[in-house]
Amino acid sequence: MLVVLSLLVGIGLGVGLHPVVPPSWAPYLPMAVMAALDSVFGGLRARFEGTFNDRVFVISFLSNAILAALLVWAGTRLGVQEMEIAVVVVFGVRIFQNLAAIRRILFHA
Amino acid sequence: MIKRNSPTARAIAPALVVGLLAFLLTVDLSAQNSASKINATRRSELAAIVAERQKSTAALESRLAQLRAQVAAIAASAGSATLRNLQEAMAGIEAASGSTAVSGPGIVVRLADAGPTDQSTNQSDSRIQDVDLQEVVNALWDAGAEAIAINGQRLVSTSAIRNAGSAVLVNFRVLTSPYLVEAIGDQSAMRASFEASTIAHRFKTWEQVYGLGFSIEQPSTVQVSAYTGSVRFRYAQIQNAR
Repeated sequence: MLVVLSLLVGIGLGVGLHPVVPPSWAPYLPMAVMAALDSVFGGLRARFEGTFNDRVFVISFLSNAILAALLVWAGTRLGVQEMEIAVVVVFGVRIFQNLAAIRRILFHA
Repeated sequence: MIKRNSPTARAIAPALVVGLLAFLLTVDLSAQNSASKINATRRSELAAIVAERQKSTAALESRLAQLRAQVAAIAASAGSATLRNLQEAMAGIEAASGSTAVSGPGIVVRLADAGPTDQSTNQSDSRIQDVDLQEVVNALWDAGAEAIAINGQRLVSTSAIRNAGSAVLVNFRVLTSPYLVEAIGDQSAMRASFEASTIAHRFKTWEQVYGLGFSIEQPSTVQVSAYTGSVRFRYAQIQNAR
């Protein structure tokens, strides 16, 4: 209940406040979102598997998002231009794996 | 104060995190949306600017042509002797400096890379190098050439002939084989002098050993085009000797 409410409030804030993303942050926000999505699907999977731990969930969510953004930032500083691809590939694969696990649990297939 | 392991904290923390995700997602989505919108508007703005500039360039060019015609008409009508002298002097200077196209009798030296032969051991042996062109040009100046161009690139006082990778640059333009070195001057004297030069002898040998192309043509009129680059001396200034 609380989760759904919070979700709606988050969407409402994003739409309502319409915050301006500074251009220097623009490449890093999508990376953080990718990492956060991965954490949420991971949490959902853990919930279905009965191994959900709220502390792990909160910490992995925040650390993944910050680390992904930091990694891309460090990459551009080091001259590795396509660091985004590394993040996208890693989190993309993990999101797919989590979704597959959820699907197996839900549909037994 | 909520304790770390209290049931309330356990319920609130994940909810907050999910709320944060929703917030980030919507912000990111709207940012991407506005970015693509900005790109689209910028592109159309740039296109409009380009079209506008093209129009103004065309207008300026037609104005330039008009003004040039006016200047020519005024110069022709003004029968002043000093003006005519100045114009003659200017024509001479232009021809000498290479800023106008000139034509006259002369010779054309044709140099070409060797064909793609497998037996050639060294790549650079089968290609015309900057040094070859430099020596040919030097021999032609020595033979009394008055104006020289290589593949239409007029040689002026700031011209350089040099290699850049596998290409030869003249006036910073990339030239490729075959190289036509056009020189205006006394045909028979220039040809005799050039054929007696060291580089011509060497090329006759190289023609047989490496298969380089080498020939001298003698058309009745040689066209040497004008130097099209910019000549702007920023450091060299005219000394008032007199």
